[in-house]
Amino acid sequence: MAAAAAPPAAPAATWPDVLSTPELQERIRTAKVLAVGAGGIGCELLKTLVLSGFEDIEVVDLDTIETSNLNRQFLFRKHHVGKSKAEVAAEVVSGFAPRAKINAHQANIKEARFGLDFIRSKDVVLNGLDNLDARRHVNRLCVAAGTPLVTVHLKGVTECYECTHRGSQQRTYPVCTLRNTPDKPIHCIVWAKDMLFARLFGRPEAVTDLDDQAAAAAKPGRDAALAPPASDSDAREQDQRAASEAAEAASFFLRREGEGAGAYAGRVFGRAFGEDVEKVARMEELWKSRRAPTPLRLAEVLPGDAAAAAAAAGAAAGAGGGVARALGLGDHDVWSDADAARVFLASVVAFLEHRPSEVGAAVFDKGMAGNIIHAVATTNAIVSGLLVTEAIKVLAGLPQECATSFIYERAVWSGRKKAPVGALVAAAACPPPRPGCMVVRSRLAVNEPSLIAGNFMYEEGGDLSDSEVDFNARKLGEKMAALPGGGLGHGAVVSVRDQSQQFVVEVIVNHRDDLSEEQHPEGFVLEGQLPAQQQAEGQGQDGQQQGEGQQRESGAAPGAAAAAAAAAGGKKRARGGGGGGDGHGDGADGAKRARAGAAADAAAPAAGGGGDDGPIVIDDDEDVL
Amino acid sequence: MSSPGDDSRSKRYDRQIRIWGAEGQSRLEAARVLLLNCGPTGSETLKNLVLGGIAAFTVVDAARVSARDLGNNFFVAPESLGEPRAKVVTALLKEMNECVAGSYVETPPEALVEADPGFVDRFDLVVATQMTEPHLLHLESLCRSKGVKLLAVRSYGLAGYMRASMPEHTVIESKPDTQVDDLRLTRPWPALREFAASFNIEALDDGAHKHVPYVVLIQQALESWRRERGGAPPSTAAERAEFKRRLAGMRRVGPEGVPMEEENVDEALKAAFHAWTQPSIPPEVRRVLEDERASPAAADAHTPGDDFWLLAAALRAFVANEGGGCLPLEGSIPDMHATTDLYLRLQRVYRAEAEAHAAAVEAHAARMLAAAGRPGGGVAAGAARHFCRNARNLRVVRYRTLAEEVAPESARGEALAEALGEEGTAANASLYVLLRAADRFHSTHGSFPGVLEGEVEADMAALKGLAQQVVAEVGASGAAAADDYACEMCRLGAAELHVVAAVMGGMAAQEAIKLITRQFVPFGGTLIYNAITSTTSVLDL
Repeated sequence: MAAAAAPPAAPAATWPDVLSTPELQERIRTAKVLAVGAGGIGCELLKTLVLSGFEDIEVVDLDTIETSNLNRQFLFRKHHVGKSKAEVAAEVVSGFAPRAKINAHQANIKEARFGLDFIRSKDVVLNGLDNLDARRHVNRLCVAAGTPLVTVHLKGVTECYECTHRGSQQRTYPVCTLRNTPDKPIHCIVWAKDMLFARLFGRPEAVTDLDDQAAAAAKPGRDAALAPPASDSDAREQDQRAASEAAEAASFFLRREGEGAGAYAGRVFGRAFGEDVEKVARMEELWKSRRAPTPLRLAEVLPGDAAAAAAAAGAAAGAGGGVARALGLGDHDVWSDADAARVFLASVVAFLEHRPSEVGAAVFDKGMAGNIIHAVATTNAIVSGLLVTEAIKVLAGLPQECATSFIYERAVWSGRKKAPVGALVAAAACPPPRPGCMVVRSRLAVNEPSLIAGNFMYEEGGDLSDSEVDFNARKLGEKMAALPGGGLGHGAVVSVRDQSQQFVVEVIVNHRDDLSEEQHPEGFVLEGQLPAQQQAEGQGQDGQQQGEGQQRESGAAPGAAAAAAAAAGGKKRARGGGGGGDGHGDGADGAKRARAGAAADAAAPAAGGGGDDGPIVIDDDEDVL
Repeated sequence: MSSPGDDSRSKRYDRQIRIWGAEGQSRLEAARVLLLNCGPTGSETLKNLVLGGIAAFTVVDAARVSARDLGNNFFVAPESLGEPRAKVVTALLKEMNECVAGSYVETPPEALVEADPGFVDRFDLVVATQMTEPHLLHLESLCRSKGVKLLAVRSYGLAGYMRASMPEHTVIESKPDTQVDDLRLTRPWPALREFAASFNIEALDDGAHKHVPYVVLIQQALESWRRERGGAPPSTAAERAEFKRRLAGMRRVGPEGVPMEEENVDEALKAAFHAWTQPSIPPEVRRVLEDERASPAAADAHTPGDDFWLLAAALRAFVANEGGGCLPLEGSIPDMHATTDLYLRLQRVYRAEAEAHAAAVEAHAARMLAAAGRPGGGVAAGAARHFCRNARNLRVVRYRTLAEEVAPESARGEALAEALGEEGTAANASLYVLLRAADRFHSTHGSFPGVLEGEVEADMAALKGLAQQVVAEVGASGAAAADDYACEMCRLGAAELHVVAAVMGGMAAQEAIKLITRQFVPFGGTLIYNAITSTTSVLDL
């Protein structure tokens, strides 16, 4: 029952019998593995890999170790705080498994040196990543390179990561990014909310990641060799020193005896926007492929008079006002704590973005200040065990045995279908590639597309506010002809742009009546050749009530560097049962279901068609080169 | 109370405190765990608990570090070949978290349990790994007699097994993912009525109007609805729609005839269901209240520090009397659009009522204690309030003994037969049967099937026979364990594969944390992990 089906070439190679064959043991020993990430899952993964016989492992992680990692990233000790996760993890694991050859890089996986050739040189890629963006990037590289990615993708046989995980909004951010390499407004907001705000307005004895940074930075030789200290007592001494530095760092943010409000504010400003930034700027490894930050000086930001005014306002605040009055915003009706917090956030963000003139002007959506991921050791352990099991199946040449696993917090699952009740881990066979997934076809994929056609505009991207995201998301459910700005019909030219990869392509929409559902279940055809200037053809079907009839789409893609592409809007097809979504992705992706539901809602009342996904488009895979 | 030590602790555990709170963390930091056998399954389980910050652990294991350990256990090092495994694993585990105390005993766990039954007394939880059924049965009766929780975990080839054993586990904070706010708008108490009635909404200026809490908007609309309709809240779909239209009608219209943006009205519309949703008692909580332990007699057995059943009895009395069939008010209100002042005043209205309810529950408890001749032995301060705040989340998990599970007269043969017959569980139920059969094999042969070279075919046949015996004995008539799984088990011997141990160690630590923190709901039966299909099943046998 386990492995009866689909015997591959070698008769002995069935799962799990193959496990006990020397051939597989040898294959595992020599397999070239890339582990992306050396964090919570990454630590577990490296350990489980070497203890399963893997010996040729490359690990990439940009982050440095934080105290708050120690509750689960078990390869790290206190004296490692501030060092590279990838390098320490590799060193510790090598110590335990001297036969294993572990090559570590403190680097961003998106750097060019980890491009297609690099991925092609690997037998399997294992993903221990904590952010959606990089996960997408790795998925696309693996699809393009044809390298199996566990548990996410096996080219051609199973679906790819983006077949099911499209467009869901990431709402959590790694601490390292927040502190060292923020590059989006949201990073600044979360930094301000979870670190600085807590430091200034939270319980005085509380410790935030800011203190950690100060302690790590103060530690001598942190950038030097990663060799562990010579003895235990050295380590203990270092730990104690780090602890007392952390305590001192914490008290730094408290107002001192007899310190004027202005002086206090100036001191905090100098630390948060000056010294700390300087320290980060000195971490050269971080700035190899990005611009180093410049510290802010209070004197430059608030020259002369303004600084005095700020100090005066601060003094007024000392006389009984809240944060709001300190910021000179006392005339507003009522300031709740939440209001004050929001203004605080907006102000800090404005500073971080070097726009001090806007202090207090921009008040952000509540929902924008995302949360730090909570994490425990147990789930990581379970995931790593499952990941390596799948990797072994891949190496055994049995991708058909691979499973998509779901882990539940509670051992009860009363989901759809014949889901076993009482499952802590439930598995489903890996679905085949989803028709219409632009990534798995090795064709076109965008990160943050924006579409413009006449008066119609659609945008995605991390810089949008929640309400803008909602506003745009609503368009996805619409039929193309019903989109705002007059609709997109036969002959419309859609300009598709992806800021994240300097990519532009134009798509010409042609409508066609004779599209068979069997042949083109996604309801459109996307055609075009690489590199460019090729005739492309796409088609869509549009069962409009209003009698526009069916359209036929074809796209020609001009432009030099980019590929040809065609977009298809939310179409409506008469489908058996009608109503809901198309069922692909099998409920693993709430966002997708919601989207399909929205499409159904938007459908004309008389027809019970299923909605397809909207104009999520497109790009070539050139960007990965 | 703050020292650098405390600081680094809250920092280190920050990400998990976000899950189980300071209270859960302090329970974890007080927990003493005994680990029996420290192969990969045991070491991985304990690793996850040490990282979480338990108070102390003791490892009992008789083995010496072998080449095999180097291949599958992360907590042994090549240079420690030949040393006591318990010692090596303890040293390396302690390295991961200097806050955790660790010790070891180099002896076979089975022997220790025989020689020193009082040993388990010193622990809150015993994690028994890689132990066979006869030894587990013995250990279980010992743990039950000492009141120590037992968690048995095992990795066997591509199968995993886990089962907890203790008479019962009570949970106050089961932490459901989502819960409807307890606003009680269908059953307003005088103070809430008065507060809502104190607003002359029509007369407010625009600024104040949009800061009226939505609870007040709904309450006022509901009061007038009831006055008109003889007291009944909206019930039919048409009535509900009509009620919502009324709420929408509370929105101010600007000079140009454009409806104003009033977030409190938006919120009221979203929360309109509170106007017709009656507070109810979840079935799990009803079972707690109807439990025979939730009676005044609980006062006799009450021990300080464990108030659960006394408070459950008091809660039952409250529901029957003051509560009028309802649980106590939770007392918290969700975030809503309001001025700070109004929000705080509304919060006070809810909190005062919740405190009155908690006081009533506490009074019931005191009365029961007095009646039992134990006045003064009251419940801990704040315990009644905490209990009431979580009244909707109370859970009790009871565990059959392993002895009951395996004895022919008490075994649930039908349940096993059903699991073996059903597509979704057949494979995993087969693994369960085969694990028990393998233990029988071990009892008679002194080794597990498939372990000895050249005996594989014979062992397979023997294992299949024993599996049939197990099935027949428990009365699972007509069912059978899958033969091909018997072959798998023999082929891999009893190997403890790291990929399986990592998963089992993760799941076992997760269950241990639930048992220790008394938060979330642990599973009640026997869990089987099947690494061939990457699935788990919980069998209630």
